Amino acid sequence: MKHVTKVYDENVTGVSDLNIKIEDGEFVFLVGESGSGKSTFIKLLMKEVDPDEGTILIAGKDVTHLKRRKVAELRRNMGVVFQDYRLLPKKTIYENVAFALEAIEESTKRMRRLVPNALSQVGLAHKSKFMPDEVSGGEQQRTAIARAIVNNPPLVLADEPTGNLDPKNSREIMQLFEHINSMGTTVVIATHDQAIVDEMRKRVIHLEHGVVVRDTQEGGYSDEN
Amino acid sequence: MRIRTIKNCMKDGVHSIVRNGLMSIASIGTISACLFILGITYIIVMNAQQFVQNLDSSLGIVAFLQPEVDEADAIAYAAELQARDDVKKATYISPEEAWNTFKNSLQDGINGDLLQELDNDNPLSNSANIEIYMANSKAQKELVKELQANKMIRLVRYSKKAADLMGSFSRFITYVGLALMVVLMLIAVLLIANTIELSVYIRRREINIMKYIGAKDSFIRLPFVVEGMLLGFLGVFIPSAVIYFGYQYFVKIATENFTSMSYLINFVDINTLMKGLLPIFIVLGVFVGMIGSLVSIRKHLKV
Repeated sequence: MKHVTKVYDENVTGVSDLNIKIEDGEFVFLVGESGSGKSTFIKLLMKEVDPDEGTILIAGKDVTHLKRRKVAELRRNMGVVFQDYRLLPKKTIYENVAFALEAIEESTKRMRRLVPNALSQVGLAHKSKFMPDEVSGGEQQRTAIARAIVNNPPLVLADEPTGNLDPKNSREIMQLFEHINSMGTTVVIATHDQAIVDEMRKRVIHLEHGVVVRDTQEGGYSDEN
Repeated sequence: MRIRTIKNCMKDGVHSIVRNGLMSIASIGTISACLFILGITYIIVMNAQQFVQNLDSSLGIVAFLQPEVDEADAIAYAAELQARDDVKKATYISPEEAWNTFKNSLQDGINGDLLQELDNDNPLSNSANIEIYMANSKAQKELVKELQANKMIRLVRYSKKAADLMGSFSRFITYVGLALMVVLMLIAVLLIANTIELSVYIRRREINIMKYIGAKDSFIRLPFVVEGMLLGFLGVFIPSAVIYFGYQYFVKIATENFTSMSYLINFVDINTLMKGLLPIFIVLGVFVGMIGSLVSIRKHLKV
């Protein structure tokens, strides 16, 4: 991101003059209080919002102002995980993951290979026929992660992925992200989870009122850590 | 697009119609009602046009020929007129025929001897003419001009007012019908959009997820478009059936009970009507359904 600024209506600033470079294969935590600009950061990368100023490059490509059709193409190359899982309640765990491939019109043959592979990566192969409401919150989030990685995207974005989980499940989910990162995928996670950030010692970008106040390699949640 | 995708979209469209139950029925009912009124309008327009056409063909022009015109030339000219598309019939009437027709119309009241006297000195010797009946009253003005410019013709008599009136009556009916159809279609689009809006609302989560995982807009739109088109298509059946049977019943009653009317109006045949109406119904129903769904899903795709 080069000099990226996003101002919402009524002069609410999302982010202001961000200059951040994330390398291929990095693991990055975005931390900060509510309203600090973490979600805007993720939304800018997903192209859910366009910046008012500045340039955004993903894998060397300028994606600052993309046409709608191109946005779909861009999103096929990234996995997204949300705090509320966003699973389809009337589809099984397997179908929820397969849905990501159906939506991009992947062949049935590839689907039969990729879906079980993603489910076993997140440790849910044995629950593929369960409905989302029959599994725990942690397992629902694993399903969402499986859906995000089923297409082997080079980038995974997560917005508060442990926000609804207890510490044990949160830790397991983060281990999963670490595992995904170890396979070469770039992972960017916006989080409030101080304990986990402190424990994992990854790159930490701290935002306040839309501005980067700290960018530390192997950092903790706050300056003191 | 893959065949599997199209199949799935079809399935989703049908599922949505079933899932939305009452709302779908309301939509189908609305389209049916709109198409029904549209059908009635169409029937009125078609019958009115036929009525005007029938009257048109009874509108005559009489072109009186110059006394020196040869009978053979007059017959040839009548044949030439007859060959035109806008002319239904053109007949040469000799002075003798004109006199005989006139005489027959008078015979009852006037002394036969007197008429016989006149046979030898035809009072209508100067009235050789060509009687022309139009196929299309709109073309009458043009033809009259041509006749008036022709040196063989002495005088042209025609009913200008009647022709103008017929033309404007036919135009009026068509315009009113068209305006009514446009209004009805707009209402139908709005109501279908409402039903699809409900489908979109129920599936908003799915749409949202699809957007995040990089589904193309066309892929997301398709099941809703299928649903809208199916609703439109289903809405065609009821009005078609009601019009098919209802019209025949109406014509039967009208012809049986109002015999005097049947002389005046010759109803358009139901099969002719349905041949024109069914394609309009299907195209409009499906089109309205499609537009309705496109309208309602548009804003949900901006994520």
